[in-house]
Order: sequence, then structure tokens, then C-alpha cells
Amino acid sequence: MNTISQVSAFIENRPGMLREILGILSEEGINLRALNVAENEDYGILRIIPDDIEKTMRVLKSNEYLVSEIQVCAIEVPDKPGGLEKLLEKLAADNVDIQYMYSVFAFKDGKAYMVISAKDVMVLSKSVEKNNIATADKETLGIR
Amino acid sequence: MERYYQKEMECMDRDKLLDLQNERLLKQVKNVWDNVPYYRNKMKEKGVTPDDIKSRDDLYKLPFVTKDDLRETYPYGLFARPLKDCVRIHSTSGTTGRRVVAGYTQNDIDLWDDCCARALVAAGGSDEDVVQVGYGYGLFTGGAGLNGGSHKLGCLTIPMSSGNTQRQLQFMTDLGSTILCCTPSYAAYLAESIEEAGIRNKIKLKAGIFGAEAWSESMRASIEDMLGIKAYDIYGLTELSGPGVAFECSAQQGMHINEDHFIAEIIDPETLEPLPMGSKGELVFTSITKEAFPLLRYRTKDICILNEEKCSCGRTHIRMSKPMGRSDDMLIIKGVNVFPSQIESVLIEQGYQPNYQILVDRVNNSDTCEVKVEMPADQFTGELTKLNSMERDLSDAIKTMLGIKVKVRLVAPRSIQRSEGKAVRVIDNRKI
Repeated sequence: MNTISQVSAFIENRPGMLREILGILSEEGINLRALNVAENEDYGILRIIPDDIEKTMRVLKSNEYLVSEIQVCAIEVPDKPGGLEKLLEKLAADNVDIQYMYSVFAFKDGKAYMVISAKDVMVLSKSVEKNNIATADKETLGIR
Repeated sequence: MERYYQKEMECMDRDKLLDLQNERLLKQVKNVWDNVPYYRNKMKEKGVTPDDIKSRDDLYKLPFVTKDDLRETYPYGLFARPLKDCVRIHSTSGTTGRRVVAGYTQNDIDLWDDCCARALVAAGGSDEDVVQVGYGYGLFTGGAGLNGGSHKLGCLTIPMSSGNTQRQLQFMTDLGSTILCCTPSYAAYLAESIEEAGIRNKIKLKAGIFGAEAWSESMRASIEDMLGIKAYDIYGLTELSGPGVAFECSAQQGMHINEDHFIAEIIDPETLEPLPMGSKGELVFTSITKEAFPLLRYRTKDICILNEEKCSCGRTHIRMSKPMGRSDDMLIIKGVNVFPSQIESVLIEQGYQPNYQILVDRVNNSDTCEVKVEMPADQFTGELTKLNSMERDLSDAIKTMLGIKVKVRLVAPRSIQRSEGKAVRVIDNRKI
């Protein structure tokens, strides 16, 4: 199973906070492959797959953002009705406990990818291998 | 026609009252000198012996006692009676987490009950009344104090304790409570609940005794209007006994201090010099009848004004204004004493840096408290569930320490505003 790096950042739930952090990234020429915001009442967690993980971590840390980096997996999803459902059925059968997932921005080859984070990465990895589910490597997603 | 519980004391001629105070003060000073080594040492340090105290005019010679002294001598260091003579403990929060314990002999309890019975009578109470005590029972003095006073007066006493609004309303209507004792914010909440339930015509309340937290004249007017009662203020501290150190009469123009038991002074909290009658300053009490836990010149940290003008109710004891603020950083939230340092000690215990801010507000007459805590960088994993459980754990730990529920909110590092490099610890938006 291929894995890719995801950066999570703590952002307060106020107008302009998301723009601010994205502004910092764009100023440094960082491009994003996927983005997701999870929120509760008071704050949110921004999750991104940037094209340059090392630079992203450095830039956000120097701007005093709370950040953490973890490995996630981007599975290839057949671009047709029920495509994702079939995949999830297989993962569920292997007891993969999915914490969250979000989609990767569209790519020109027409393939769709979902970033997926599981409670136990080993369980996910085994299921992905067993079911021959394709996962994107860095090159496919244009990550340095 | 004004009624009194102990007229001979409450309406005593001023000269006679001063004589009584002097006599009791001298006895008390000798008592602590003889029985409490901590006091003797403190007095020696200040170069004063019982012989130097001839009357209350010499009070200024005595050292002050503060909450720090109570903490230092925890648990029994200031007791002036052997434990076999003591029958009760009450407790309140200290400045840095350690609680303050106060002891009582049976006589102390009796006199405390008298003070609360005076307050009940001043509020129009008699043995015909049904008194619903909605203050918390337990280590807190609110429940025990009014419960004792109500018993002593011969009222039918309902020991409800605080909370469980539905049951409060049910008993209030079924048992026909005529006097309600609780915190003013809870009284306001009950009043709203009564209105919502449409049972105003079923309640028989005529008066309320509301204390343990600050409340305004406008809040009084609103409670009186909603419940159709007269609402009276009451003042006290666990360190001195509990509620009933001072209480309001029918004139509702300040609280009469039970001067046969407590000598009040007003001092400048900066210079610690006594201030003349009528000045605004910190209230200091000397308990002259307390046996188990006597305090000389105890600094309450409450800022107020004393008034010695004769009261229309006929009582001769001086009156204190409602406390107008504090000379330290103590907050009273939902009737509970809260020091920022207590919250700080919980944070440190739980592995957080002491970067926090306490926001207090009053919503629908009820206090709210939110604690903003800066997120420690090394604990951030990017998982929302982890953040939620961190907040919950902190809130639980603070509840264990303070006994009240606060909302904990994690914020980004260095996001809490600082003034001159020092974090602003408390933002109190309550309009009291």
C-alpha cells in the first residue's frame, strides 16, 4: 500500500482563519492536492495533502501554527455509480475502522482518489493488499 | 411592626454594645494567646501582648489574619479548643487548591443558628413559616446555616439543598413554602421556571433570603416582581461561621452586622491602615464569641462601606453595603469561591502550561464560566476526537477541584492576549 503525507493544522473557528493559513501556503508557492476541514463548535482541524510536505511543515511551524504530520492512503476509486461503495464493502468486511475520508482534487487522467485514514493502519493496509485496491503513489499525485 | 429574634441584643444601646464588644474582645485575645501558638507567635512578632489590648480602639495593634494563614495552619493549627470539644467542620476553597477548614463547638453552632434566626425574623419569618432551604448542604455553609436558623426559630424546615428544579417547584407548591433561601441566581432561575410552568398562583412564598453571591438592586426588583415576595440579602463567610454574619432588615438599606459576635473594621487594602466610618475599603472581622475557630482581624478581601446611622427598623447594629468588589482575584461563580490559581494548579497537574484565561458571564441570571487553555504543541495529533477528550478531561478535573462545571476550550498556542507580557487571567463580563 502506498502512503502519502498529510498535514493537520489547528485553526480557530473565526472568519478569515482558513484564508489566512491558505494565504501563507500560496505565498510560499505550495500547491494542494486535497483539503478537508473538520470542525467542532470552537475550532477546526485543517487537513491537507500538499505537494511539498517538508516546506509546508516548516512554513506553518515558523508561523506558529500547531501542526502534525501523519501517513494516510489515497485509494483509487472507479469513476462510476457505486464505485466507492463497492470498495468500502470490502474494507468493512475486513473490519477496517475508517476515521475520516475526503476526496483528492480531480486529475487529468480521469481517475478519482479518496484520502482515507483508518484507526489501525495495519488493518487497512492488509485489506487494501488483499483486495488489490489501487493506491496512489507520490508521483501520481504530483507530490515532491 | 418590626419583630426581632433577640431584641435585647439586636437593639442594644450603642454604649452598652461597645462595652460588650470590649469585654468579649479582651477575653478572645487572651483565649487565642493562651490556646493558639500560631497566634501567640504572630502577636509576639508584632510586639503585642494581651495586656496591650484594652478596648476595640486597640484593635489596630493586632496582626491581620489572611487566607494564607489559614492555609499554613491547615487543618487544625488555628483551633483554640481541643478536638473533643468540636462538633462540626465546614470548609471553603483556599487560594491554591488547599481547602480551608473551620471548626465549631456546639456553642459556636448555637450562636450561628441565632444569627441565621435573626435574619429569618428580619425577613418577616416566624415559627408559622415553611422554610425551603435551597442552598447546598455539605461542607458549604449555606445549607447548614439557614437550616440551623430555621430550626431554631421553629419553622418547618425543608432541607432541599440546591438543584433539581422540578422537585424544588413540586415541594414549593405541595408543601406551601413561605420563605425561600438560596443563591439569588438560583432564585431568579426558579422564578423563571415558575412562570414557564404557569404555577405562580400556586406558590405561597412571601420572602426570600438570598446570599453567597453578588446581586444587584435590579436583580432584586426582578425577583421580587416575578415571585411576588420581598427579597433579602445575607452575608457571611465560612471562616467566621457562615451566612448570618450580616443580614438585611425590612428597610433593605444595607445588612446589619451581628456586632455582639463580630467586630467590623474597614481598612485600606494597600496601606492596611484602618479607615474612618463611611469610607470604602476592605472589610475586616474579629470574631469575639467563636470558641473553636476564633479569628482576629480576618481580612475578607471584600470591598464595602459601613454605615452607623440609626436604622428605621430599630436595630442598633451597624450596616454594611453589598460587597462592591474584591481586593484579591477571587471570583464567586454560582456561589462558589474560585481563585484563578486553583484552575492554574489543575492545568499544571494535567500537564498543561499555565497559559489560560477565565471568562465569566451571566446568562439568564445564571453564571457561566469558560476556561480557555492554550493547546500544548506536543499534544496535537490532528485528531478532533483527541481534542474533545482533552477538553472533557480538563473540565472534569476542574469540577473535582472547584465543584462547579466549567466549559474548557482549547485554543492555539500564544493566542491568549497578554498585556505587558502578562496574560490577562480573568475577563468578567457579568453586569451585576
